[in-house]
Amino acid sequence: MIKDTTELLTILNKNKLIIEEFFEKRDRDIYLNDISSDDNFSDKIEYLLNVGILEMADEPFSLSETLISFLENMLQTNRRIEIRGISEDLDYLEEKISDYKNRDLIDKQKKYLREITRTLSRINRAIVVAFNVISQRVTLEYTTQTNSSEKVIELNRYREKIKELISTEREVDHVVKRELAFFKNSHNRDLLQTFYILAQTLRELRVSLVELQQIVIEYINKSEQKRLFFEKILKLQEMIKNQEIKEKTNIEKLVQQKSYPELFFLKKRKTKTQLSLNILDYYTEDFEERLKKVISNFSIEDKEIKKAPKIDDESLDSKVEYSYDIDKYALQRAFRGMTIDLFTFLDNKNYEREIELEDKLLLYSQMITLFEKEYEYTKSYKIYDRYRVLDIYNKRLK
Amino acid sequence: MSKNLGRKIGKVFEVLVAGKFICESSNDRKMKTLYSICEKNEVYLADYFINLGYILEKGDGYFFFSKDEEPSSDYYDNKIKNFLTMIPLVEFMLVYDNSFGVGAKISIKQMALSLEKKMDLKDRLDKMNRHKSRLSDIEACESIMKEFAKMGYAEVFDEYSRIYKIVDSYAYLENFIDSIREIANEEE
Repeated sequence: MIKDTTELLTILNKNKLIIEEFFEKRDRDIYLNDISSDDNFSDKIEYLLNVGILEMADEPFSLSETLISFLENMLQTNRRIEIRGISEDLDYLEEKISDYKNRDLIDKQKKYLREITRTLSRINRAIVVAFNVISQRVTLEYTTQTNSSEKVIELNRYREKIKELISTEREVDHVVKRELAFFKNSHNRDLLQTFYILAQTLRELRVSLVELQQIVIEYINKSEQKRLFFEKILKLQEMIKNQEIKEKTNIEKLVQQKSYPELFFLKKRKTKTQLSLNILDYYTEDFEERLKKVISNFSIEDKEIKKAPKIDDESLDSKVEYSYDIDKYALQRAFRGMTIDLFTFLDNKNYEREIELEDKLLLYSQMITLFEKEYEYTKSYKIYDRYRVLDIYNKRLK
Repeated sequence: MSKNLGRKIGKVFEVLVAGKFICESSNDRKMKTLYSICEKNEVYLADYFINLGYILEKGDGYFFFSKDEEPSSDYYDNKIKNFLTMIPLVEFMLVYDNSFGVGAKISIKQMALSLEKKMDLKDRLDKMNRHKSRLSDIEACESIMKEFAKMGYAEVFDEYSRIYKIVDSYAYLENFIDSIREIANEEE
């Protein structure tokens, strides 16, 4: 927010172009695209929003109400065109002139003269302000309003205002002419000066008002033409749309088309399915036939990569872990008293489950470790696969 | 028959008609619900869908749609081609981990790391042109798993850690690949 007058004046000065534009367009919605006075307006707008000069965080923007009323008061450019006030002032003027004529006291006459002067000045100012406001707003309306219909309505409103101002001007002129002798004989310098200024204003206004009226009529005609043109374009667009819809909804034509889903303006839904598992069970030959045709373009590796064996559900659920353990002591007991060598004994033994050669060798080694002292070791050996196995016998009993 | 089955049928149909599988082992809670709907009302749903031209088929832990008509030769060939293109990918995965199958969780990062250790894996990846368009090892490995996911045999288990899970429908692919191998070997 702005803290002091210096800061306010600096901000206003730095952004005078953009503020001027906002002030001129204060009676309508202002969008970013409408701003033409400044190239860097987007940065400035953000800044002006932050300091509170502009209102609304989003489009359309507007100047702060406080600033608008301040500028309107200072510049006397109130957007209201107050023509009716002039008639009231005129009545008051006539009253005061009549009062002046009916009074002999010099003090009172002076007072009336001052009031008459002030009223004349007020009428003059009101006429000038009304004319300026109307002419400014007519130009602004014509150049900046994008909606043709709105433009025509607004211009017609100003045309009425001009007519009103012309009749007021005639009324003022009539009174002034009627009281011409009074003004000239008043011998009051201020009053005479004000009177001449008003007379001058009325003269100029007469010409200007006619010109303004012509301009407004011209603007109205141009806007009306544009409006009619746009209306025709819109109507044409609508007709094209209607025609398209009519074409699209022509049942007879659509039925003749093959893709009848267009009747409902819907795209045909794509569906996807999988190949049935039954093909593998019941239609294997078909599958084989088709596969042979397709497979030639693909190379399948000869060597199949082995999958890890599956663990069956039973062993997963089992809470007991089984292991196959051979009782070496029982074996030794059986071996005792035998004349064959240890490995031949172990190799020929009938086990509960089949045992690999490696496992038998392991068993052979374990027996030697356990019952080392009970055996007699020879130098001869037998060959099993790629292993040489030493012949070991039971120690002979002495 | 379950309550509000009508609404549920719509959801089941939406998934299956897009060629997807409804798997029991899916991480998606909605899919699991759809699976239990299919399982509880299997007979009713099969009767219902057959009128629409689809056969509701059940595999080991998964449901899918097949066509209730003699498949055209193009349709047949395309499906077989799809299986054939999946074979190198499945083999790649088996070289990476021979326990690859339903329920396996595949970490893309681990997979990319093992490329350094297993030369065979790297060679296979190169052969499959997965390094095309300058993909990194991780991206190349992920592209393989994405292929599985696209076909409905895998799904993203942990997006952040890049872990994929192989779902029950993989068994469907395995069935066909085994048959293809068998037929191919017989021919030789």
